[in-house]
Amino acid sequence: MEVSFEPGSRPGGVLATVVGDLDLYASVEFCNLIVGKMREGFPRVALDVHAVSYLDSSGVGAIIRLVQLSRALGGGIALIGLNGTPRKVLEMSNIVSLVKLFTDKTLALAEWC
Amino acid sequence: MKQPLIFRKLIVDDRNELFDAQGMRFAEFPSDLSKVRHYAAAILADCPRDFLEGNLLEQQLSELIKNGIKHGNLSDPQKKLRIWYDLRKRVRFIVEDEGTGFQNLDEWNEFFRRRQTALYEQDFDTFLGLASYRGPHSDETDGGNSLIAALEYWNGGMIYNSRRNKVGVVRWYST
Repeated sequence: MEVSFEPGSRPGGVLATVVGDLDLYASVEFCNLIVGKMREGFPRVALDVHAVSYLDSSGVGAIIRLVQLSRALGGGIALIGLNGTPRKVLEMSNIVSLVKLFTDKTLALAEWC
Repeated sequence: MKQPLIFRKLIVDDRNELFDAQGMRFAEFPSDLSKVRHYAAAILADCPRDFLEGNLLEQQLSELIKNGIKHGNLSDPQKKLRIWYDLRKRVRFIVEDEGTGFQNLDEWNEFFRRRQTALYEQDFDTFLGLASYRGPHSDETDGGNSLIAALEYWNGGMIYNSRRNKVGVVRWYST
């Protein structure tokens, strides 16, 4: 699992591209990386997950913790390119209602971060 | 008109047909948390492609295996995880660990009832606080939501034995 960051288009905004599986082996590192960026002053996060093909309950839990923290810091979480199994898992966990969804990065940068 | 809220719940029933292992294949694994996905992949090596649904079946089976190894056997390498499985016509598993059982099952059902009520009433602040279940042994790698997705995924049932260290599940597929 790898995470890379790009500046957002508004104050407090950041775009994070995630590549790899968000499973029980990677979710803690993933969460810590995003939390670190939030605490640097970027609580409005767009996560590009189009290259994430596997998401388990640990990954869902990490996303929930990120939503909780981002809202506490006055921001929020958006997901870009959520598809396939990760989308089904988030839907089955009823978590989709807590995040904003975008189909591509350009839209997310224009409207979210 | 708003649809009525229907609660699903985890059920205990020793006599349930989901515990009938006759004709099922069997595998036994040591409690190695680093090999959860490897064990799931081994079980599903010859699973019909239509049942896999991408990697959704592997993911859901991995959750059962992880729960058994981590919360059941407490990752004790001396304790085994036993899996009976049948991949014909539908997918059915029985997963048994050697632990003391899921003693917080009733508490989890109550947590789930409150969570789903908040979601139904679109009380998202309350829902966000209840998004993850935290049990007495939860740590940062526990998402606290595997059973929530499991109740949705195992559409033919998800049943525990009375000791609560064995779960039977089935998923049916439309033809």
